Amino acid sequence: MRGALLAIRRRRLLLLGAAALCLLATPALLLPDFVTYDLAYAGVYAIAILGLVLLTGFSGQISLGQGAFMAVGGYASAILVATSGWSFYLTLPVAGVLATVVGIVVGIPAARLTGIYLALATFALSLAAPALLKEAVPLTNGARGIVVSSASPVGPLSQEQSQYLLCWGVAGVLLVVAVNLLRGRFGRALMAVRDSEAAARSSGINVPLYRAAAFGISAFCAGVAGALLSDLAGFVNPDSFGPQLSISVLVGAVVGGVGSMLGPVLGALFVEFLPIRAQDIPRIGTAAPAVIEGLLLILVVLMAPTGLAGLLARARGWARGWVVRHRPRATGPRGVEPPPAELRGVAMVIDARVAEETEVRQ
Amino acid sequence: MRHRHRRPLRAVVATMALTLSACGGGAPSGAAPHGDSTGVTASSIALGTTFALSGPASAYGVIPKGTQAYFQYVNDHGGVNGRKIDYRVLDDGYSPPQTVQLTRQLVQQDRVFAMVGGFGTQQQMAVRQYLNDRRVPQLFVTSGAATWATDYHQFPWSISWLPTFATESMIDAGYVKRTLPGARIGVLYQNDDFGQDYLTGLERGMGDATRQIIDREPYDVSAADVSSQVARLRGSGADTLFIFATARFAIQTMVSAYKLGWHPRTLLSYTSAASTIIDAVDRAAGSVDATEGITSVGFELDPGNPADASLPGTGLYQQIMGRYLPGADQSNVFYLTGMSNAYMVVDALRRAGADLTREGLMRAAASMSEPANPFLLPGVVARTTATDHFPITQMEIGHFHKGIFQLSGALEDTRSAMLSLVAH
Amino acid sequence: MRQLAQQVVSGLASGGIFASLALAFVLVHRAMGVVNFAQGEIAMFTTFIAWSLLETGMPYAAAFLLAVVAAFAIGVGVERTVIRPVERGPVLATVIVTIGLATVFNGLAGAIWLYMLKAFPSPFPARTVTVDGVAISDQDLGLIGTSLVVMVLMYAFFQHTRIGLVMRAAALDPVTSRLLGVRVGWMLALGWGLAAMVGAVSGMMVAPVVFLEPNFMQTVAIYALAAAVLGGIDSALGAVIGGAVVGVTVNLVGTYLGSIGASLRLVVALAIIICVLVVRPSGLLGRPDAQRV
Repeated sequence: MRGALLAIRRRRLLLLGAAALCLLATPALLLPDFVTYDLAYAGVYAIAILGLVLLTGFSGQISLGQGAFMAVGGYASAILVATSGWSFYLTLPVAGVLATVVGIVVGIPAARLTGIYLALATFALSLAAPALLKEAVPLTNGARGIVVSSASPVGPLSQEQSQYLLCWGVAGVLLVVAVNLLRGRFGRALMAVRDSEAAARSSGINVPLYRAAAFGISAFCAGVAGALLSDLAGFVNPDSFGPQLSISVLVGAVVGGVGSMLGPVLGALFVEFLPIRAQDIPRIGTAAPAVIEGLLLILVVLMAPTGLAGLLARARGWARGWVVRHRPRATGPRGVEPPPAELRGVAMVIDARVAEETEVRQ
Repeated sequence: MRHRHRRPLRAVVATMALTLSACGGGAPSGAAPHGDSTGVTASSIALGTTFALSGPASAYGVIPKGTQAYFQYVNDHGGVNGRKIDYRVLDDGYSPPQTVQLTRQLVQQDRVFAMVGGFGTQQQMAVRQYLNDRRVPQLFVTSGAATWATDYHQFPWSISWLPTFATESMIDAGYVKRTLPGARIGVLYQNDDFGQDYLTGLERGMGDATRQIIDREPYDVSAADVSSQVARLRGSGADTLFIFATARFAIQTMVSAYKLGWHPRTLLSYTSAASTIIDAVDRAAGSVDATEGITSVGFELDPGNPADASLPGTGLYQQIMGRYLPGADQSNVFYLTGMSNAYMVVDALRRAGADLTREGLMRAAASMSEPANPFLLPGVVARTTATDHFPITQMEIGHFHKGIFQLSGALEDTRSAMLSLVAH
Repeated sequence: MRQLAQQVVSGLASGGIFASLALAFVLVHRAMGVVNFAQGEIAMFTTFIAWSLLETGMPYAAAFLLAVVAAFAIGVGVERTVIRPVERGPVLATVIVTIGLATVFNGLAGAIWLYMLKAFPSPFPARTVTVDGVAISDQDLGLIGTSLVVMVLMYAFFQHTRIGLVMRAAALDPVTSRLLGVRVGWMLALGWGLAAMVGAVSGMMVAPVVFLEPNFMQTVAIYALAAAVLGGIDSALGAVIGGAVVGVTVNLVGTYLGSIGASLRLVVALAIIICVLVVRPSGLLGRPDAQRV
């Protein structure tokens, strides 16, 4: 069942990937620089959210600490660029690897925790990170932060276009890698751990190992995102990586949808543009943009528990169902392929998880 | 299947070509031969700012409301050289990456003429390079760090307006050396650049007498309360207490010291010396004795202080508040801070002339000699030259008596000391 | 030595602050096994309600009672409207909804009451007793006392009242309880209402010390979480002991580790959270969590 499902996905992915690439490249050339720049920020969020989706959606662990790993990557990159004169592009993998190491170190004890306890522990981490950064003055320059001159643009592109293409290019590569990873043995094992820890253990999966590895992978994404953020902002300081950042990333993951690879993209656009746009709403928006943000967040969770990606999938299911019902059978075997099956699969996975979590809590 | 995908692609390519040709045809924006006047029309000037309207520093979020009110007042009185000010405030939540994004939005999307009064040292430093690269004025930043003045040759498009924190603690140090020789000093300071700037200024001002500082107690902004630090300061044997803190912690320190039965001579940073804050201390301690004799400095009016009530600036303030911010708490000094910032902006715009350019505005900002800002204490002159970017360096020592701040009557000027910082 | 004693006393006073809100966390966790990230913000909001009532000239006792009642209404209302749809769903959904709630309450308070610090009156006299050079204020004693009273009330409620027993049953075994005719949903709402009440008391005790503005409970909430986790997030007594331990530890670290210690106080509290969760998730007094598979 799942194999067939993935086979459909693979073909679709290639097409989607090609379409996505065109879509991604155009804004850089068509839109004004400031929009391109905002979209580049969204790309950074997408990467950080992807990491969290891997952790939460596919390994079942809730983390409120993504900002702390972003800080590791962001500071690593900023320090290497500003004090050691590295090229920014070279710092990207270093930032990722360093964050991975920290992620695994955190992941080993965290593997013992589940649900709300892990959420609390990682929340503590995201609060502690800025305080620690302020104290490590020789390395981080304390509260004053580090000014980074952004990497020079590639070829004839403007600074913003170059940054945009880099951020979304990295996001695209990581998304493809993630999809491949999940499709393989590793992904199946992760999902087995998520769906039933006991069952996974009895079939010989080393649960703590997989959990720690998921933390490491998630931290890698966060580290890379942090490095890109430092280049985009041209500045890092402890306040740049406060708990609000971790919360934004978690919000993006949930709003986008933690069960889907489209989730990070949609979630990133949500967290990037909501706070800015909320300020444009007259009266409440100018007086208290936070109220609008909070209400929207609650609404999305209540109305679309599988996130925007889930909504989109549902809409697509309806559309496809409509097409199937109204198309003569003669169009070939392709028309018979019942797309809702895929949705049913997704729904089953989600249902299973909901049931599992409810059970654990009771 | 194949059909379906090709069409949108072709459309995309077509749009791309169209837009590219359109881009090629457009002239670079606003680059008139004599200078850049982006954001200026015959009837309006677009200004922007980023501020912490939400988040940990949101107490300062009323400052731009005061600024806005003053701009409205100016607009209703004919504007600046016939142009009305169109002022846009965006909330960065005190997070530098947000500041960067929103500043770009204001500069590139909203095409403001200048950024004015932006809030927060780190936040504004995060956009300083960008604004200087683009040659957009970063005018009268709301930050007390010295770097805005000391690094002006590297960042000629940036200038702040507040007296630097070091200015104040140097004046304080002079006062202690004159009137309290032999004082044993304890310092409570916020453990970030704000508190550290104060501490450094104090140490420099004390000079050879620095060893009289016998205890330095930092606190972090994330602390719940500072009672532990106060207990340590009391235990250190200090008889003179410096409080370099934001409002909440300053209040806690004074209340906590009073309740411990510890009554040192107290010097309070101006960031927390508003009459509303002193009132809160007295109320919490249950006695005006808690703040009796506390020393601080002033450079602007305090609308909550009856001693300032007769000054023309207070009258103007009340008039503008009543007209444009009815119902707002007039005793909150931050509204006035916003207005005195706005006054300087308007003054610079006016002097930059009818033929308004960004270059002209920066020239005006760097050649100020403005003795008439009604929101500053009488006698305080905002002054800048091509080599001196410290607009306000004068402050006046004063003491709280029965909850009311009473100035000593002698303005002190640290301009020469501040300028010596630049040479270093 | 006197220094040490003074630091312990002031640590206990801070501990009283943390414990009072920690008790609210315990109530919600007992009712439904989650942590309400909006607990501090709801407490802040109700404290502002009390402040507004006081501004109209209402006597303290009346304002206090009305605010507590309002808190109960807010707690129940919030549970019935936005928590109920997710209460059977994944933990993640509840976490996100409470984060959303925290944002809403903070933004609302900022829009209504603005961000300027406000003095909030204390029900206790502004007096200080000095014992052998160690100063203890009535405010501190009152805070510690209030936390203890709330703890005892909670204990009595859960052990000795019918409704308290029913609430415990509903939380422990919702399915059976429902079969026995217990309206489990309303029991959860009651838990939220009670937690909001305790939070309101906490807010009104804390506000005189740290002063009122929309962010005033945030730091307190973090220390309170540390206290709750340390005590075992299901135990009222644990929350109070946890509060005292966190308060004193943080103070002593701040005092005896020099300037680094002073600015890393928060980190110490967070380290307590992480260590307890990893080493002994049930805390000092909590019951170990039996996970069903």
